[in-house]
Amino acid sequence: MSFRQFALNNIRRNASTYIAYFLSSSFAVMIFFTYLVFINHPDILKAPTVFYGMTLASLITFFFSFLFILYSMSAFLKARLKEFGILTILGAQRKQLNYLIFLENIMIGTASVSTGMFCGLLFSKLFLLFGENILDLKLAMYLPMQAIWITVASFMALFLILSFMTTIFIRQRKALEIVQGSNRPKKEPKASIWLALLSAISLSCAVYLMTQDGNENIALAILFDIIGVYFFFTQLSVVIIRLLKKNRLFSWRGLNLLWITELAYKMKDNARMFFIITMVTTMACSTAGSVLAVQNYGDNTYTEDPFAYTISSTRKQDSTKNVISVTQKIEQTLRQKGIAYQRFSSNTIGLSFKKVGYIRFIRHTEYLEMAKALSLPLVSLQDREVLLFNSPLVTREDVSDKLTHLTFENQQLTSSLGKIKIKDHYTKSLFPSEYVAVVNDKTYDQMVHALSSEPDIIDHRYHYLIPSWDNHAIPDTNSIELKIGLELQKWYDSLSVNENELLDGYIDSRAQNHYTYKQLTSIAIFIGLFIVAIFSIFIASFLYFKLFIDLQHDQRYYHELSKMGLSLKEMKRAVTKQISILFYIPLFFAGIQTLVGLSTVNPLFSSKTNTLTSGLWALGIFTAIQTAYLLIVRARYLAQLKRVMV
Amino acid sequence: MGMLEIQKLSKIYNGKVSTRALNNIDLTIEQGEFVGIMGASGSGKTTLLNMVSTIDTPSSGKILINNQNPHQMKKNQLAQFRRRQLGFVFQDFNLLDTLTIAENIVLPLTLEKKSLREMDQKLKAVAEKLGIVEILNKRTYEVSGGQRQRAAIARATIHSPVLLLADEPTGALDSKSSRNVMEMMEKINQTDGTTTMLVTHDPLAASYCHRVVFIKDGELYNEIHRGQNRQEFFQEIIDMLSFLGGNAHELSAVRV
Repeated sequence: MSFRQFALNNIRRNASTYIAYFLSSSFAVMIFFTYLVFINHPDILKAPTVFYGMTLASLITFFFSFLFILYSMSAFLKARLKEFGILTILGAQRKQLNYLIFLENIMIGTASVSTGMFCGLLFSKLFLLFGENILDLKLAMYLPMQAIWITVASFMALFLILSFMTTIFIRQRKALEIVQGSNRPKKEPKASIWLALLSAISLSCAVYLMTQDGNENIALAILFDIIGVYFFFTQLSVVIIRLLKKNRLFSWRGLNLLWITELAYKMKDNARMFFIITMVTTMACSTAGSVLAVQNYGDNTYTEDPFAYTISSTRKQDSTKNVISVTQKIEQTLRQKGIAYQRFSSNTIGLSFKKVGYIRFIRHTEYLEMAKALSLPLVSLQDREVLLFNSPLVTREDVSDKLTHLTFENQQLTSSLGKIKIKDHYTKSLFPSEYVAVVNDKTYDQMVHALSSEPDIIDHRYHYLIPSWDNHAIPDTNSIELKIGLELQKWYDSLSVNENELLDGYIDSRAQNHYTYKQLTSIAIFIGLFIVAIFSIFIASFLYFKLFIDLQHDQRYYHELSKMGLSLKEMKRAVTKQISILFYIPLFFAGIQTLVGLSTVNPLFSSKTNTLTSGLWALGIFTAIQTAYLLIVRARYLAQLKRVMV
Repeated sequence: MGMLEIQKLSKIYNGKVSTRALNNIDLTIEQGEFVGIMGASGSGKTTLLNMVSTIDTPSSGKILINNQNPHQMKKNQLAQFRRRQLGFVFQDFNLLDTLTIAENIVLPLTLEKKSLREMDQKLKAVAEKLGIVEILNKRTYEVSGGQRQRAAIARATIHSPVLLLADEPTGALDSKSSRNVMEMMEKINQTDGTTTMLVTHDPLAASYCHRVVFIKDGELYNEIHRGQNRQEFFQEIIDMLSFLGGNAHELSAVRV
């Protein structure tokens, strides 16, 4: 038997030990490959703006594959430490041992890269279909040469690096340590009180800084948060568990003694992993939360706009030119399709105010016409009284309900009109993304008069209300509204206006706007979802691995207890408590971090879009997925432990 | 009626070749008795102990502990029976190294949710009896083998079991510790009247028993009773063993 045969036989006959390592490596390869197939798709490459995000995501994927494989590898080596010990005692040289590890890694690496790519090919078709659905693109299957060579090169390099790292890992250990393997009793987890205090202080600092304003505070808060969470897992958690243990009323009761002590070890052993998981989960949930918020904002721009079309008219009269009328085109199109519409015209001026910012003013008479059709309040107004509509789409912080008067920024207006009283205000969007103020005609004319020195202050617009087009739900790609919107856009884009012609306005179609917005964001959403999926799978696999590394130890542990009279039911309870804590503690921290993080970006979105809600949604989904994993892992783990119960 | 009644007990391991590990064993252990089971490796003594400790089920026959048949109980009920009625001492101590000695000892009581005061009281009593008070807060890997085994005995007896089962308790100990551990078991048997069944192939350990039962090839072979003199009993055991299995030195290292 040559040494190479020995290595091969070693793998073949140790299949059960290798299978977990092999499968997880294949899995990492498969994910990475599928992703590459997707981003290198010729149709995706045509949109270069998204490519940057995609590349970033692929780097993240690779980084996690790397961590994941490194982790499975070290787990796998620990299980085999004893075998290396025996070989050392039999007189195997370091060189031979290194060679053995190297050969094994290359064999497993080759096998898992090919398996992973094969599965990836099958999987990518599914993935492309999924992408087609989300992105509204046709994505045909193709031969992904680029993806193949990138995957092969990067993962084979990864396995090479890992085999070198393994040999270093082995070299650091003494033969005796290796022979004893992982059977030696573990020392009680130690923690420094000072570092635990540091953790507690850092966490409170982070919380305090978060409540303060200012960007530099946020950066500091994040720094404190990271320090705090890191030392929470490595130190504070151990201290807390030790305090729990010291409280004998609690710890010397029922199963508590069993799971608490085990938990202390598991926490300390996995502290770094928990830290990474917490950070990754935070990233994933924040990504998902922001993506949901972005999507939500896009949807709101559609549902909050009462008018299907808004034409901003340029209205430069020039009798020498041939006028192309946008309004005529719209009306003609609508009449052709037999769609009833109402047209409103508005003459508005936009003015700046102290504290509130930009507000668009409309005459009372024009407002009344719209109000009748839109069932808005019909209110009569005195001079210098205003009816204020805060659009829920405005991204500024809404302070208007705290004000009783509006103060002009403009000196001229202040001197001629003074302050304007807010009679009432509503949160409703008349013109999207703008505050709208209604004043009576006299006040309006006064304002125009005061500003008469400035040219072109009045904006003329036409608004089309189409009662049959309900905007409560997002239009799908087959809706008439979107079709006509796209048609008009096409007409508008195809116009070649020459010198003798003049366009009398711009079309703003809410359905078409929403569609464009959606196309831009859907790729971001797709990437976001993908990253979240990958993270959650990796995290669950990490935990799964961790549990199964300790399985032998735990089996012995529960076997002994079972002999003493620990019943199956009690074992299940203790194990469930332990696993749940391992799964949910990082999630708990990630949850807080996500919600705090998202609430700081909330002002970037409109008041209608609450990032906290979308963050909660993301967290909820994440928790649901993790719970599903937890149930699977728990079932498998319990099945293994059940075997040793007598 | 004895504390432990074994009636026509047989155990057959089914495999490619069926092995009859135990054949028609009848044995009664009276309340307060200290009985040793001896036999060569593979004679079936550990199988017998496993049946009595309810971690293995007999193929036929009956075992009654304190007039209860544990093999008819449901799994959870059985677990409860084990931790209330039985105490175990193993060759490799089976202490959990994640717990301190004290925590290991009170473990059966915490599972029963006894009050803290009762636990402290019992812990103190048993630790004083076994001379392990000063190591109570140490971890298992910080104390010697003999101390560990004494801690294991403390754990096995803290809940006053009706039957104490010991599987080669001196198997991993040096002769001084062995003596010490056996003296402790004898003491517990004498002061608390705990019925004890000891499986061993160490004649020194067996010499502390009231009665030693010999098993050969899965069947009861013989039994000898202890007279006044332990030294004499030890010699009788050695003679019996050499008679049983040929050479005395094959069976165990003689430690006098």
